[in-house]
Amino acid sequence: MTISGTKAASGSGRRLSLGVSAVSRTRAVAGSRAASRPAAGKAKTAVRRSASSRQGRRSGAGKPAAGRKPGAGSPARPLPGLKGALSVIITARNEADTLPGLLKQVERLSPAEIIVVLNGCTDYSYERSRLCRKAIIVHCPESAGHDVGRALGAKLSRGDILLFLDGDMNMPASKLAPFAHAVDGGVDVALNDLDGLLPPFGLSDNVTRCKLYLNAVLDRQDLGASSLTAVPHALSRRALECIGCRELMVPPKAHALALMKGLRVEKAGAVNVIKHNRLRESNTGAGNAVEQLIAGDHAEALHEVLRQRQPAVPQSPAGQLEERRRLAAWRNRI
Amino acid sequence: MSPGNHPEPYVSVIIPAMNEAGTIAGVIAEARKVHPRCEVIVVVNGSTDKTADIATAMGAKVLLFRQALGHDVGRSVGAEAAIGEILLFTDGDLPVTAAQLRPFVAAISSGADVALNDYSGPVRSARPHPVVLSKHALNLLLGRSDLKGCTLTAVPHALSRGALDVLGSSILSKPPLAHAQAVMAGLQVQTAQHVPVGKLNAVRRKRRGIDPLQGIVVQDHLEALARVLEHRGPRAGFSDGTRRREMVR
Repeated sequence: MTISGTKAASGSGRRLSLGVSAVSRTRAVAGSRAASRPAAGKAKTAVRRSASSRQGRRSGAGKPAAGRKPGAGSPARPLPGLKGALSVIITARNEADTLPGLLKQVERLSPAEIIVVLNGCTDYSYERSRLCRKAIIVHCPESAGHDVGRALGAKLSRGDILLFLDGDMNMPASKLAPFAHAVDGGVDVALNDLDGLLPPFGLSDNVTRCKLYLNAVLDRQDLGASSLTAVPHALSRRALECIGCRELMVPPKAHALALMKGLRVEKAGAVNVIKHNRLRESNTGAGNAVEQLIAGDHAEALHEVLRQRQPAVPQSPAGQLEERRRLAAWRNRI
Repeated sequence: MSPGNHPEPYVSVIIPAMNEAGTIAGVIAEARKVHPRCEVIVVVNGSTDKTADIATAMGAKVLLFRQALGHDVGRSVGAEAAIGEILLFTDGDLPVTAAQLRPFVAAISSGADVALNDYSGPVRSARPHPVVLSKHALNLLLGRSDLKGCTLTAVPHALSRGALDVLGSSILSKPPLAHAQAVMAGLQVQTAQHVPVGKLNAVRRKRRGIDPLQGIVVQDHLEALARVLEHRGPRAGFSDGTRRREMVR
């Protein structure tokens, strides 16, 4: 794994290794300050942050409307109208075609930082992402698995508002801004509202059904099928701390945790991800691998819900039976 | 006068009934026509009308309980008393014909263990009724999304004697749990016939527009799901893909 970024604040051309055993091939990201850990001899994982300002070079692309001066991108500088610092986390798998466009749009949000997690990319995603000088790029050549990149990106982030995106979406900044603004205005979890896109339930896919069910079990039918499973969404720093970075790799579980912890979870914008999602062999057709994975994720979420709900004194079978008896009588007006 | 129950029945038809004097005669008459070797068992509970008298007069085995047994408890009681090879469950207020019931028996005869009503509930709106959603979700997490919203919750349905031996009769009072158990035990669970019970069901009393039973049914599905997770693990047996969870702590 390589973390490469262009940051005015960081040392130029510094190449640091994370304490990772190349033998076991386990790659640990210890935290956002991981880069400062001492080098380990055989580590494959490296963090590289080169200064961009020293070159005074601008890509020209994605120049914010506000007309920021070259090199003025202090990581803490908030977007006008946005009180908190924005971290944009983009996860991508072989999205060389869409990443440059998305990064341009993201730059228009004047984020404090952009973290691109490249997960098992074999195309030019890395090279293309590097054209965005602001981006900190985490490059995992070997796939880390579904949504692990979100957790990784979150762990590395420093902003007050975390906006999560996928590299396969090509989305104007105006569609992304509402999520960041919602969190800036006090929402903890700002979700994409998918309900306008839902087909009749009889025709819906298993993923949608899982999402509807989880929200129903958590007594949030009002959220419909909106969930942390879908991007774009944004989290407050508080939400991240409450939920825990690690849990983000199983988004429905993070979603359930957010609701059970009483965080403010709301729909914040409506972006048609179904239209923009890239179709792959693994995510098309009934019973596809992604669908199976997401079903398992929802099982995990429900497992957590049931675990936390277990009553201190479970109702006795006799008590249950009596309740049922009385209800049956009531329904039949006896 | 009806012929009465066969001494060596192949099919046992189990009919829980609570004040169904108006419909019970028709239900028993259709049940009788399902198979030549048939026993009809009517579980009369909490009834103040002539349901038991009518059933007795028609030669059914009547199990009489002064108090209401509770939702679906009649199924367990009826199954306990049944001696047939195939157990067919219906309801005293459900006007279904013998032609609609026979496919359930036929499915079990051909090797199925559990023959379900091919009825998923109303699915036209984008957001379904909580019970409909619960049934779909349970099947989905059982890895049987092909069954859609069809579960042992809905009658009519039929069980093989073998299925009853595996499940036991008491679990039948909690149909979602029985359903989950049947699938997890590797029993052959399939749909047999579409009987639109939503249209046929009697309209019941509601509290503020919601049938209070809804809460119990939703809760029963969650309990069934808890059992699935207990048996198959927190991911219900679904793959974690290529996730390397150790990468983030």
